[in-house]
Amino acid sequence: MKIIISHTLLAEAKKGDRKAMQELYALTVRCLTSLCQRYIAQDEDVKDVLQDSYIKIFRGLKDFTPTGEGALVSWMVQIVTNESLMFLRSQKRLQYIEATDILPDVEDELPVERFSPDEVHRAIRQLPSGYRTVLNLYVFEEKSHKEIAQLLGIKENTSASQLNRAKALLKKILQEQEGGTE
Amino acid sequence: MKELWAEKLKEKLQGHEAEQIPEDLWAGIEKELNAAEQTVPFYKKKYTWSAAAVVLLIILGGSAALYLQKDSSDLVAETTEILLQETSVQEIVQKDESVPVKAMPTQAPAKATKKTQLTFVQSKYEEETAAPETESQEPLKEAEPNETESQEKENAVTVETAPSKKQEESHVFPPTDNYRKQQPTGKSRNSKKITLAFTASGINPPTIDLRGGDFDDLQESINPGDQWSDQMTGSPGDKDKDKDKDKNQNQGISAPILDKNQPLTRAGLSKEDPVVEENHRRPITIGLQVGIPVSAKWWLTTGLSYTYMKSEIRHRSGKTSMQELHFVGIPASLNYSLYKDEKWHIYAGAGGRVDMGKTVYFSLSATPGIQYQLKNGLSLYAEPALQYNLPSSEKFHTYFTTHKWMSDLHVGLRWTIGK
Repeated sequence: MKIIISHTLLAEAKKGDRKAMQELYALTVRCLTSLCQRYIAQDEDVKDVLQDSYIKIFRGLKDFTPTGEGALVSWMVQIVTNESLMFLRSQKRLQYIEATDILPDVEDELPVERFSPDEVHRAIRQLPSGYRTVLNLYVFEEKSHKEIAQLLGIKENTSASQLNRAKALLKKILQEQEGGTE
Repeated sequence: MKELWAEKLKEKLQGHEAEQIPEDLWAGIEKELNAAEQTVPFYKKKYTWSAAAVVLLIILGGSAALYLQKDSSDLVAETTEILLQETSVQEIVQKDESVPVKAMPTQAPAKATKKTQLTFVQSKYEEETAAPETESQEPLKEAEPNETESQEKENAVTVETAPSKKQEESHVFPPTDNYRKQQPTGKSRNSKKITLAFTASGINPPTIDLRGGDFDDLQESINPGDQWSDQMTGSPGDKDKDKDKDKNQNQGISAPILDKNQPLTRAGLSKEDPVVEENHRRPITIGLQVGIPVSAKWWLTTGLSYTYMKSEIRHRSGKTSMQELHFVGIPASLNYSLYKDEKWHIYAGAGGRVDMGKTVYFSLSATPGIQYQLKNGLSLYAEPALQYNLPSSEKFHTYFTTHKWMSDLHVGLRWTIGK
């Protein structure tokens, strides 16, 4: 679903109009909640991070200059992503499970097309935090392993292995969900 | 280009919305927004205690620096001070072989215990400046009382013991040690102007400007009496002065400042080589500050500053010495944001500063300011300030003591706390 934010609404929100801000919140909160939930498993933590993110968004709104269509949403997404990563770093909840055995690469056919977005979303949330973070950064933020390694303070090899294991585990979870529903 | 599975996964969750949103999320956001708009009591701010700790450290550090600095000595400054204290009119006149000691009208001691009064009559500036230079440039040794008298007449400069008619316009100058207590009020400072000419000495007559407003400049600029010796000994009013000696005995003297446009260049008038001119350079101030937001528009700044003051002190012999003073300052100001973006911040503020060194200065300032964000709350700032220097200890003559109002440029680094 594409979020459409009018120039008028943005202008009013930039002025600090509370109703416009609330409307902007209502338009974006479900999308940003989904994003935040992909990074953070605990609902209470998701709420705290989202609250901090929105405060930051509203305070920074007066200085925001839209550069094109979708720029505002992209900016908001970036803020929520950064806040989520900051939270994970501060809580030290990134669990990198180092494998002692070498797993073969999972086949490319991750059967996501057979599942609904909600099912895929739930499956991702079940991944360990380290797997989930690397998966999010690699897939949704389109970061390279080098960039992920720099962001999370890990080795590139660790990032690659975490992604490989995240993909394998995600496939397993989805298949289990499929088996459970059948 | 990402792998196919990654592309499919991203596409699957593109625009995905959560089934449920956290309960009372908007209420929490609104509450925090309201809190930010209200003026939160200063003591409730998260960073207040951190800032208080920083300020306390700065004060303690500044006090320690001040304490340590007191132990050390500024040779030039103290030399000047000692020179001023130890030199008297009598000593100078006695050492000047070209003038008779008997003409010395007073004891002119520097210390308060020996007080002498000298009274001078106001003479017109135009008359003094009209004095021919050729006559006044005669060497000192040729200056005799009679010649002096005739030169004075030619120059139409009246130098005589205060007649009763003009007594109201005369000024009494207390000795260096205590004249501060008796200096004229600000109201009368610019109302009276006395000019004197050194006709007796045969030197190029400098203008001695005794406007009250310059009294601050005087104390360390010239030794008490050394400017007067020529005139006193050679003027026809000396006898009258002697008559008034007893009358004036409980009054002191001080010395005027020389007009910098007509500097006194003759060397060897006194072996003490007194100070004849001070040139105070504009102070240089750099700072390290913290910015503490109080509300969306208002914010406080405080921190630490360093001020360097340099003065050139010229002695009668033509030799110059330097007075260098260093001050650690604690500024504090309240600022209002006028414009702010990601990099630039323009504001206006008002506040004060205490500078501590070998003496202590207090000042108030109003300033526009501009700040450039470097990284992580660290900024460069520049503030062209209009500064008012409050009356303070006058142990040393500096730019601060000679300029009550001054423009200044404050530059430095500032770390802004909070969002």
